[in-house]
Amino acid sequence: MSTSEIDHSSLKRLLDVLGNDTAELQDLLQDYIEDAPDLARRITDAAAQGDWTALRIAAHTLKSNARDFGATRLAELCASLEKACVEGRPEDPEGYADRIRQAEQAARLALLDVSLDDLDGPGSVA
Amino acid sequence: MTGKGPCETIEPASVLIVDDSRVSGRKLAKAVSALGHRAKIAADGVEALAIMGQRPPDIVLLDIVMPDMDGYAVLSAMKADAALRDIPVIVVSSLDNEIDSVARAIELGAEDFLPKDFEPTILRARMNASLVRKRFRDRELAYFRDIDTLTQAAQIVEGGAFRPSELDVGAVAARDDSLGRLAKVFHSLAEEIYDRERRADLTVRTLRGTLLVLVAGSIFGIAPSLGRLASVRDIPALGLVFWSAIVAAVLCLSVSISRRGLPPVRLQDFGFLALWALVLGCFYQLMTVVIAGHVEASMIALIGSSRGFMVFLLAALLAIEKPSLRRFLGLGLGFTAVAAVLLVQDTGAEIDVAWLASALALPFLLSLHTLLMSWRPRHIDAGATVGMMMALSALFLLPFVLAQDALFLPSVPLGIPEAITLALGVSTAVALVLALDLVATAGPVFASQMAYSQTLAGIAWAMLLLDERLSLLAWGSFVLVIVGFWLVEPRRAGDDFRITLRVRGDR
Repeated sequence: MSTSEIDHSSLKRLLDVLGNDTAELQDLLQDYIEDAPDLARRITDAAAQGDWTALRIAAHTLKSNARDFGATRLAELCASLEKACVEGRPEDPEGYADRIRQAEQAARLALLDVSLDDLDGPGSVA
Repeated sequence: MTGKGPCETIEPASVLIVDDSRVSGRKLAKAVSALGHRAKIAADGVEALAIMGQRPPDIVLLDIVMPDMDGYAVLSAMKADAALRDIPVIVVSSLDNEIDSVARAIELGAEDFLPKDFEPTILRARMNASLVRKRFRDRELAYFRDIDTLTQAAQIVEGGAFRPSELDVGAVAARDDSLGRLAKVFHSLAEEIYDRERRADLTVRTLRGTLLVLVAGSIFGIAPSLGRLASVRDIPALGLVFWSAIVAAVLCLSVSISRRGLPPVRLQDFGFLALWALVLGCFYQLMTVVIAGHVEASMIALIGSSRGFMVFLLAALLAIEKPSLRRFLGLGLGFTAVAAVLLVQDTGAEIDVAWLASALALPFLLSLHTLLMSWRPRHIDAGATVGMMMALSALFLLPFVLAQDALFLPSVPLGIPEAITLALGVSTAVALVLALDLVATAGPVFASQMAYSQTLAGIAWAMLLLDERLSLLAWGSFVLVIVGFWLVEPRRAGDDFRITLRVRGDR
């Protein structure tokens, strides 16, 4: 797994919002790492139970978190699922959930490889 | 870094962030703190409303999509709560697929919206704009509230019944603007009006109290002379007191019932009435008549003056009155004068010192009676109270009257005994009704000054009805009593009056 999963410009913007406080960004990343698998699990459970409201809310939250940390592919998948939930019954929700679970895992591993101290340099988009 | 450093354009504010995502909430909190504000995070709508209920924030940053209670429900609850409806809410939205949601939130009363991937400058600009509007609105509302307070205070003053402390314009007067200056001027004028009304009220009450002291004392002072007249004619004391009580009861009750109907008596009122009947209607009246058979009426009146000194001594002991050397000198002089009357015989007349001494019980009983009057049941009018008390006195006396065979039957046409009985009954009734009014108007200590008018009147009645002449010693004692009163400085009339100007709520 490589850091190309991650949009570094998003991480730089997040660092900017946090007042260039790298320690704070590290703490926030830790929160993300803890919460993201749980959100992916909630998506899997809601898809299996056909609970579209819970599915929509979990996809919405994971989408926002993923965008903040530059996990673009994961964010797009979540946005797509959320849109499908808003419009009615999503097609193949369990397939969605599975792809999201994999993307979440990939993004999480990629984020663990990112050196937050190096974000001050020019950002790169994978 | 664009949003770093303390807030440049607005004072620090308390910000409530409502977001179910720990990451989003914490990101917002950090960004808000970087702008110099104080941030608090609520993880859902229910927690947000609980926090706002305890301490309303200056502004709310609200996520829409949340489990259980979403952003719309939080907005609706805030707008339904008068304490929260004016807090600006900025909806935080990712905007994709949520344009309709943002529009709906703004329709529900949200002030603005913020994209989730906001720039710090945008966050600062939108928060500042909302906070400036809120603070302007707050100032406007406070101004209107202060104008309302001042208007209400003006209405109270216009009604002519108020206490300055109840106008409650202190907070408005503390304003550092023209409204504050207006409130200060208004308050000082209101205090002037109040002081003027208070002085006028005290003057009226003092005059009324003084008049009552003179009239009631003058009427009440006739009792010893009537007792002595009765004694000369061998009218039995018990019978006289019994019949005079009947006369007073019939007079007071018939006047009271014809004017106000039956008095609203309660069972517990009879405790007071019975005690008052024993002290005044039975013991005082009977002792006055009996002692008057042995002691000159003018002497009884002179000894009665010690009541004024007794009340002062009691008040000084209870720290109601401030003692001083001058006042105790006056007290000593007063008692010396009374003692001289009791102990020194310069007329050669046969006067029993024991009877003179027993006359000291009369001012003591009257002091008790004055205190008792301040505990009268206020729901019964003065006439009915005196009437029922005198009726009870007659009832208490009846067995003794029968046992002593003192129940003389009135004759027709009315003779001297009947005239004395009528005079004693009517004077007692009128004097007591006036005395009750006096105690209610001026308090018991002021009312005790009736002792002076009663003494003067007692001597005058004795001279008029009995042709009594005071000895040189008695006149000397009388002068000493007057000097004693002057030294003791009887309570100034105004001190006892309670200020009961009506206020709006009393109407």
